[in-house]
Order: sequence, then structure tokens, then C-alpha cells
Amino acid sequence: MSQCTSNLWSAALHADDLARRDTWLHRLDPRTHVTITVAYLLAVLSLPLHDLSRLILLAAYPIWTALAGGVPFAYLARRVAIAAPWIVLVAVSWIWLDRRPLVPGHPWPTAGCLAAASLLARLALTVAAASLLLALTGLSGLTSGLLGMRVPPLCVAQLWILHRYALVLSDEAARLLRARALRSAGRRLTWRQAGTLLGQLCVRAFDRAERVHRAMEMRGFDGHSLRAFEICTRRLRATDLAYASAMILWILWARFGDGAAGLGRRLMQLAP
Amino acid sequence: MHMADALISPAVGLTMWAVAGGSVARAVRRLRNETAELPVPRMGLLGAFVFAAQMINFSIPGTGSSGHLAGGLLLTLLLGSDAAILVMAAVLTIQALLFADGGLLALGCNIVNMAVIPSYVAYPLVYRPLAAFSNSSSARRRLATVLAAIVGVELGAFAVVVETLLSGVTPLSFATFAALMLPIHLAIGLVEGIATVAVVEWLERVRPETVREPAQAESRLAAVIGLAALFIAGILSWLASSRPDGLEWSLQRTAPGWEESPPPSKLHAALARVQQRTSWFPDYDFTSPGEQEPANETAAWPAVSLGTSLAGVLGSVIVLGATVAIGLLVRPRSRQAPTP
Repeated sequence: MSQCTSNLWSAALHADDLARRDTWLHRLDPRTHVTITVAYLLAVLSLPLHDLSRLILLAAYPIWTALAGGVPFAYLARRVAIAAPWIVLVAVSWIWLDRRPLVPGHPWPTAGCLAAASLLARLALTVAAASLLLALTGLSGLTSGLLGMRVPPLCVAQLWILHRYALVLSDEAARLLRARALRSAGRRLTWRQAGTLLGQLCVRAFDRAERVHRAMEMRGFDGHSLRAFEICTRRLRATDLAYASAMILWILWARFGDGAAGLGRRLMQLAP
Repeated sequence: MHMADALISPAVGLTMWAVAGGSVARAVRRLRNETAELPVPRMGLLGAFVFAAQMINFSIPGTGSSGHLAGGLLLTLLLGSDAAILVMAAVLTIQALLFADGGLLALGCNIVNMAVIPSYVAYPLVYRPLAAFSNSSSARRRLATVLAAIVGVELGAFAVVVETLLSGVTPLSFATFAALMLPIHLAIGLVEGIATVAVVEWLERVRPETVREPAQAESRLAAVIGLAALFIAGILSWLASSRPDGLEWSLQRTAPGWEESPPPSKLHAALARVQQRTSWFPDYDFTSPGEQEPANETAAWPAVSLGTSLAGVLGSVIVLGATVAIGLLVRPRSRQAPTP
């Protein structure tokens, strides 16, 4: 069990490692990436469910960003697979329930297939965009970006401490489980024992919090101003503004423009 | 229960972001104004505890399966509603960012379903009235905890159903989707409640100072108003469902030939089609869908009315939350400076 969790965590920490690369995309301000990602998510999700062709066009953004930022596609694929099961279920329900033919006279493919394909495409694009945001900014960049976007420092402090100590406490949980497993002769964990283990873990969290708190007070933390967490955010530079506006214009064009369809029509006219 | 981005529409996502943001802003302001010294590290470490607690899987009595703690109610009992919302919001954010568990645009939905509902709805409306003036580890306190957990999880699951349906991405009808989600989450809520009782009682034995006493119904007015809204919404939507085809009837009267005209959009057509198909949902295992004629609609009504009432309840909770959030946003700032 602990093996599984540590794998999960190492995968999660790997995502943060990607942010340590030094490409020109990584050097942009985190707020730039946040803005572009939000615009992109809104564009993808505001499409009607049966509009697959624009989704294909919009796939250009994650592909371009992954390429320019040096983010491996295997990492993106892994994250999409993690998020997939529930959405695959909904996609299957579309195929099952909506069997109207798309083309009159042909029973296959059905409208449900189109909806399912479009749903899976939405899944891939949204998860890829969110994963790219983390891979380009990292959690530290993202949290300082959040401070720059006026998110209360109290919330950002929560993210910070959580990120630092979730792994530590997961190790403690693994130790508790191992200690119990060695003494329990393979019996399953009852809910009362689970209460004791969870309580133990909770007490350890309290004790560690006490120590962390004292250490923070020693370094000037006074409980209210949260000065320790207020990282100076720099001003947005011209390159940030230029890149953000270029990307948002492109996203708007891909979402609302007729360019790709017009191109397709022209190509079909060219064909004999 | 984590919702992904692919399953929500921007309108639903942004609305829920507004509700979640309003709730978090309210929590931050209340913590700043009311608490002498914020237990920031304790909040963060308890968030980490919620992460780690999910490793401890225990067997559920009477069934072969196992479950784990989700933690929303436990955090509320240990830290109070306001701090618990912040911690759960942070946990959900980290899950979305690092584990791809839940989407970014859907984060607002997830914060509302798994943080705001347990802390601002289930805790004050269920736990507090039931547990007030009771001794620790009394049967009444246990019942209050389990009921609050169940109500929190069920309302959260219900919110998932409504948010997904409003986004228009599922072909399932409301009744079918609710019938799939709610029984499962009844069991999950029960497990959550029992695990919370076990942890709280153990902590009360070992570290009595860590568990907060239930406040003596300090916001009784809010609870009364909330319950009244729930009650009225339930009654109203039940009444509305007794005349289910009113809109259809009036459309037919005003626009003859309405039924023959093509529906406004593909999605609408698909949903209408699906609604027809799922109205005979109970039999669909036995006959192949192609052969079956849609049953007449009156047959499906008794099964739907309960769901409609619950939808009214949830809708009122959402509208209430949105109103509160907007109200808090437009309210003039307190004299205290927000951040030095």
C-alpha cells in the first residue's frame, strides 16, 4: 500500500520537477500561463458537445506548448489516463443511449459515438492543459502567481504547508500500517482499529504542527500578517503580455473563427 | 466525487467558482476578524493528515468492501467551519494540480461539493442542532456526527448530479443519474460518519483539548432560514411536478405543430430522445432498445417526483449560496485592512 502511495507521490513530484527546466516558456510569468490556461479551458468546454472538428483544431495548443516547453507526452498521457475512468463511463453511456444515425441510411456511426469521441477529446485536452500549467510553472511558481492575483496569503500558506507535509505524513501513515501489519497476523483492519490509527496519525500531525509553528514564530511569523509567505511578485513584462495576447487571440480564432472549416471546404473544392 | 473539467460547461464551472470563491473569502475574513491567532501550521498539517488518512483503508462491517476517510466533517469538528473550508479547498487544489484528480475549472464545483456543503450546510444545519448540549461520546453526539456526514456526502453527490446535468454532457436522465449516485454515496457517507466518530472519540480520550466543543447554536437564525428555504423548495418543486407537462401543454396551445417542428439544437434533440428512452429504464435490461416503444410518460411520474423535490432543495441551496457569495462580495469592506 505504501509502495503504491509513494509511486503516486513520486509521479506527482515528478510533475514539479518538470517545472525546473529552463525554456523560454518556463521563464514567462506564472500569471501568463494561468490566464492562457483559463481562456483555453473556457474555449474547449464552451463548445457544443457534438462539435468535434473544433476540438481537433484546439488540440494544437497543448501540442505546441508541450513541444516548446519540453514536456514529455508520456507524462501528459499518464495524467489523462488517471482522470479517465469516470468520463469513459459517461462516454459509453452516450454510445449506449443515443443510437440515432449520423448519416441518414447508415446505422453506423451513431450520434452517440460522436458525443463519446468529443467527450474523450475534451478530457484529453483539458487534463493536458492543466498538467502543462503545472509543468510550466511548478507549484512554487503557481502559488507566487496566485499571490500576485490577490489570492489571500492564508490560502496560499495552506497550499504550501500541504505540499511540504503531505509526503511526510504519508510516510508516518505507512509506518503505522507496517507496524500494525507486523502484529496482526494478516487480519483485516476494522473500523475501530482504523479510528485508533487515524487518531494516532492526527496526534502526530498536531505535534508536528506545534513544532512547525514554533519554528515559524522564531522566523518572524506572527499568525496574522503571514509575511513569511508573501513572496515579492514581479511586474509583468512586455514578453508576457505579448505571448498572452497572441495565445488568447489564437484561442479565440480557433473557438469562434471559420478559418479551419473554410480551409477544409477549399481543399474539398480542389479535389476532383 | 471529484469532477473533471470535461464534464462541466463554463457557465456551471464559473458559477460554482463564484460560490466557492465567495465562501472562501467569507471564511478568510471571519478567521481574520474572530481568531486572535490563526493556527496556520495546524490547519496545513491537518490538511496533510487528510491526504495521509486516505491510505488507511479499513473493512466495512457487514460488507466485503473497504473504505477510507474523506475528512471534510472531521476537519470541521477539529478546526471549525471556516478553517475547515480553507483546508479542504487547499487539499482539493493540490489533488487537482498534482494528481489530476478533479479539474481546474471544476475546482469550484469540487470545493462547493466537498468543502462548502459539509462545513457550511451539514455542520450547522445537522450536527450543531443535534449535538448541542450533548456530552462527548454520547449516543446523541455519535448520531449527530454520522447524520451530518451522510447529509454532507449525499448533498455533495446530489450537487454532482445537478452540475453534470446542467452542463448538458450526459445522456442520462435526472432520475436515472440520481438513482445511480445517491445509494452509493449513502454507503460512503455512512462510512465517513463512522470513521469520523472513531477518530473523534479516540482524540477525546487522548487529547481532549484538540476537539472543539459544539457551539451552542450561535447561528440559529441562519439554520432556521436555511431549513425553511429547503422545506419551501421541496414543497414547491413537488407541487410543480404534479403538473409535469404544463410547459409542453402551453407550447402546444400557443404554437400548433410545435411537436413536428425540429428541436432547437442537436443537444436538445439528443436529450429529448434520451429522456424518452430512459423513461422505461426499469426494463431496459430485458429488451433490446431498438424494439421497445417509448412508454407513455405518465407511467414514469411517481418515480420522478421525489427526485424533482430533491432538485428543488439543491437548487435552493445553490441559489442561496450564490446569493450569499454575491452579497459578501458587494458588501463594503470592514474597517480592518485586508492585508498589510
